[in-house]
Amino acid sequence: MAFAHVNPTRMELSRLKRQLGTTERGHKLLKDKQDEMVRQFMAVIKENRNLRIEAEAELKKIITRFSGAKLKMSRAGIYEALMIPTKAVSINARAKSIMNIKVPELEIHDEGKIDLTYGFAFTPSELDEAIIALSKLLPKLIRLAELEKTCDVLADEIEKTRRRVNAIEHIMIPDMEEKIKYIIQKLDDNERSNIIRLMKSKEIILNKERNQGF
Amino acid sequence: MQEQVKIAAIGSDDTVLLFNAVGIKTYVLESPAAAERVIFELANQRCLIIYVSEDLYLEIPETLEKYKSAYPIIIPIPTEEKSQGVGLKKIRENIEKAIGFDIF
Repeated sequence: MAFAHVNPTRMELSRLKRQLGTTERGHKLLKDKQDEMVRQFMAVIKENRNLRIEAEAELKKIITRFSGAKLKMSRAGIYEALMIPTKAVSINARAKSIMNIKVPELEIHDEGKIDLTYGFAFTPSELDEAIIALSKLLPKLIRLAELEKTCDVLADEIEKTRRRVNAIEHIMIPDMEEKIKYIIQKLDDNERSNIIRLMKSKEIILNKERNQGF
Repeated sequence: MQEQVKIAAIGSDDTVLLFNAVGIKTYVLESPAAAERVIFELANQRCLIIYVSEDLYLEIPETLEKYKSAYPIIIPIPTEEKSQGVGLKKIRENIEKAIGFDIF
């Protein structure tokens, strides 16, 4: 048996019973939490996956165009052209709480207008296209970052919770039930041996009295 | 680095420079060690999003492990013409972690 020392007393029994009640309630709560987190997770991960596939395809196109531009320009030229940002994106960050887990929430302030800041004379049109496409993709990339982090955090938390739920369900609760059973058995044993002792004593006393009487 | 960097991109070749044009602070770094250092600095400056090219992303698992809280968000992006599928693999791993098996 897993438990080496459990005092077979009524005190211990009532304590264990109370503990078991608490544990079962905790288990139910944790399980509910896990279910809800999985539900939320499924909703987010689907969007995450679609967005990632979309963004990667889009990025691939942009990179191909940019590679084209790179071939037509000198390295220094590229550095120079891309040095000054065409637009400034500002984002606001907050932390949202899903089931008391902090997940990021980003708000994008995008003015939408793109100002190419380099001279057109020495840059190929591929570069313009690549930059315009990328700036259109930017809100998606930011949303993607937000979703991916949410999924990361949720997945970690779900794993942790699942471990806890399993530990309670398969180890803690059976262990306690076994302890309770053991104590009840032991108490019953004691009770019976006490009754037998009484009966035996009574018999001896009665025998003695009967012998004296005659 | 005086101004506040909110979005950054780190990559091992010139392709990330493109991000500079749309207002993202860009770093071209060759080695994973340099990338780790830059990520550390950015995180200290409360940078929100760090895009890391896939090849570098695979080299810095310890750093990724360190930044598990909500911010900064560090995610991989493909910077070559062919994606290595690092991002999708991460999504699959997350699903497996959360529900125990792969559904996609």
